[in-house]
Amino acid sequence: MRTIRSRHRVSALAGVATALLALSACGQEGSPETAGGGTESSGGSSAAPTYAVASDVAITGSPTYDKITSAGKVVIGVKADQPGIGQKDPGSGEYAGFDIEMAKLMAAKLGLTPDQIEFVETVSANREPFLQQGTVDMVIASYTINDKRKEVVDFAGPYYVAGQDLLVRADDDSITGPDALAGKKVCSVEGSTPATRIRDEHPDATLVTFDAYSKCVQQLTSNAVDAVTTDDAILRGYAAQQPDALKVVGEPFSEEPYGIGLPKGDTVLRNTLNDAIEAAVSDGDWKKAYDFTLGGSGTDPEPPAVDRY
Amino acid sequence: MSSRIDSVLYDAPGPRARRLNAVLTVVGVLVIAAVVGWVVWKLEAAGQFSASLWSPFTYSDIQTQLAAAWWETMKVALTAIALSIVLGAVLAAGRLSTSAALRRVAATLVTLFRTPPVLLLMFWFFYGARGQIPLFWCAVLGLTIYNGAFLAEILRAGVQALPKGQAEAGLAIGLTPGQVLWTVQLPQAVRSMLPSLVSQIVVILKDTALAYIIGYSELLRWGQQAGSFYFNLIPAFIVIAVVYVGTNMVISALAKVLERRMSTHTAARVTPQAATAQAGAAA
Amino acid sequence: MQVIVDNLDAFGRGAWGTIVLFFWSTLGSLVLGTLLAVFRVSPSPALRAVGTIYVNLFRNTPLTLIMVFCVLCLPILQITFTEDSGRQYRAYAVLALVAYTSSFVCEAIRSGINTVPVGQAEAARAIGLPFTKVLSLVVLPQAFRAVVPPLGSILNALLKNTSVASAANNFELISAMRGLVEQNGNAVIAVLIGTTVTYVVLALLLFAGVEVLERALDRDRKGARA
Repeated sequence: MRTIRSRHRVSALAGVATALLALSACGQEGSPETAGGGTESSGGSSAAPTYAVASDVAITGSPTYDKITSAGKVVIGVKADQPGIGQKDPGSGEYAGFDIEMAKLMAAKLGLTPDQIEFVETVSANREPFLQQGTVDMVIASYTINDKRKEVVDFAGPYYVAGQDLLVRADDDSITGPDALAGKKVCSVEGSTPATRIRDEHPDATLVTFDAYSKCVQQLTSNAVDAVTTDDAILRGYAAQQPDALKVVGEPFSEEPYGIGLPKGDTVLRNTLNDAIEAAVSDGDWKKAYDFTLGGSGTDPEPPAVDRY
Repeated sequence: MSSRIDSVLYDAPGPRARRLNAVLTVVGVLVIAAVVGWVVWKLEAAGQFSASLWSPFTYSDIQTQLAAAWWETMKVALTAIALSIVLGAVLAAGRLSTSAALRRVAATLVTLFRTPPVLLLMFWFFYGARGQIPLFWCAVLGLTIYNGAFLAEILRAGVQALPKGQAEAGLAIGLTPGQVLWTVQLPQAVRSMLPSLVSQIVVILKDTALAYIIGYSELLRWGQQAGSFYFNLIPAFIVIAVVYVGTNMVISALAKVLERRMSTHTAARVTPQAATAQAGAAA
Repeated sequence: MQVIVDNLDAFGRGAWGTIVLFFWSTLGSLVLGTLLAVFRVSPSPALRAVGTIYVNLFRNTPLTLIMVFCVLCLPILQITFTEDSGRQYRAYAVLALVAYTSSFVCEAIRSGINTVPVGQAEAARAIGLPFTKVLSLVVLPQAFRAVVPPLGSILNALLKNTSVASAANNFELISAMRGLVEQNGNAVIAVLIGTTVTYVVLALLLFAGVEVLERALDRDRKGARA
């Protein structure tokens, strides 16, 4: 049977050529100046702080520490998409943020230089599995200490106490706190505690959820939502990144103590890190780390007291 | 210019028809130009053409990381392609087996594997194993199960389209039914169904982007993170879209070459229509 | 399994979300896909080129990318449809699904046109019908019959592809499942099974619908012949 045949299709080569063109490139060496994403723009002080690396470290009875010494490096799970907390530069691959400074600080107290840290990206859903599988030695990733998590992992700290707050556009004065959310579109991460709190306690707000706060902030700056809610530390990171466009309301309505997640049962390491946090608070390293990262948002919080549960 | 569609669907245009065609073309093109122009205007209005938004992608470090992210996508795709070909062949063999029980098991598995969305299959591994399976394998296994079932159906259709004489000749020279399937029928089925197989492979490559939803760091995730980092989300997405489209077009072009070389070595009638229709099955 | 019984309303709302997404996306992609197919067989080289470029572009781009682009980038471009945020995000998701699925619909219809015997078009032209009538009265109606089976597969894929909208603040089966998994850590497998079964049921309903359509079209043709 004769059939109607179509014409030849346009050569696929055109598409291929475009792709190659995009990949090859009018190249420039190195990384671009950070367009407001890196540590430089979010930090208060300009030079990266350094921490004295301990030389006489003797820890016995910690399987995690034994693993670290035999590997010659410590593997730390951190966030990669939270400016000011833990963010990976998509060009250089370097991590920056308060959690990153805290990681360097903890490594220094364990006698390890920053070169001996290997950062691994974690998302909220895989922090416990990473610790249980031994993929990472510790997790420093805006990790709230709570009883449910304590059943499967151990926590040192807290090294910071965050609270749920609201991020709004800089020119928006109508949202003064959680009670002013009626009829507003509020964005958070699906399944997160802040999202659940809005749904349960402020049902007159319209909740919009995504899988990452960076998407919520994107929706906020393009006027698709009116506020983003989560821990103030995270929000401050975004506000510091775009100070002209965004601001934090500054009325925290919960307490979220951030801890260092450790494999369950490693009490020796937990005590060591608790000592290290206390030492960092008293010798000023904690403040150096804070000022360099979250300090740009114009806050000066008190470091929290360690909770040796 | 005498392609057959011209001569069949419409007359060789006379002066009036030519004028009408010209008018219609102009109208059509104007409408499309208006749509494109509107998009460009929107982009311009949002300042998306400012050079500073695009310049990050000209730096070598960014390109290196982009290539690394592309490779993460390719690793998922290549592993899933290899595994789903294996699974597809096994399931096809099951469906063509002489044992009725085996045929029924294989048919059930094929239906079971291809009914739910790939994303749900990935979540099966992700949630079902309580995070004990690395994200890479959640993505690969989800893709493998789903596409393995589709490949099995394509291969089965290919085998069934072969002339009966192929199997009979094999059996006549003393091969077992299994040997006939693996050495005579399947190799020819692969050749005759190559277009469908390739579109399924393109589907696998595209579906690797679903791994982004379960949190795996691949090309799309890199694009989103880079876009958030440099505040150039739209340029970032356009760049990675070009990479995806380019990669898929290269694969399709390579397949064309392969097809031309291989199609002579099969007893099946190669029917491009059947192949195109099949491709739709797999969006 | 108790968790499924307890959360039947969540599954129900999720399934409804999936159905709504599927309905609008089907409608949109049939319209846009047919229009593109007409472009691709039209006498105008410019329109043919537009059709070809569109199909090659969208068929080769991951749906997830299109989805995320619509949701994250269209607000940046100030392209919005409504003030209501629920409807807004559904519109973005439907737009992404339509943009993607149309390219497959177009190709299915085009190959459907190819299966119509040349004699049909020749006869139509012989009685003096112009291109538009040849296409709309003779070729396309027959092409649609040939297109039903591949179109069925495309719609089947579309039904599953609505799951990608879960990444775009759309409440459908996958979002419902993720919510339930968060709340019922000890009944994860039951929730997964419940979700899978719901998809199977929806797929069976769709399959039955396509079957009915196919039979109706067959009867039609036989009637026409008699």
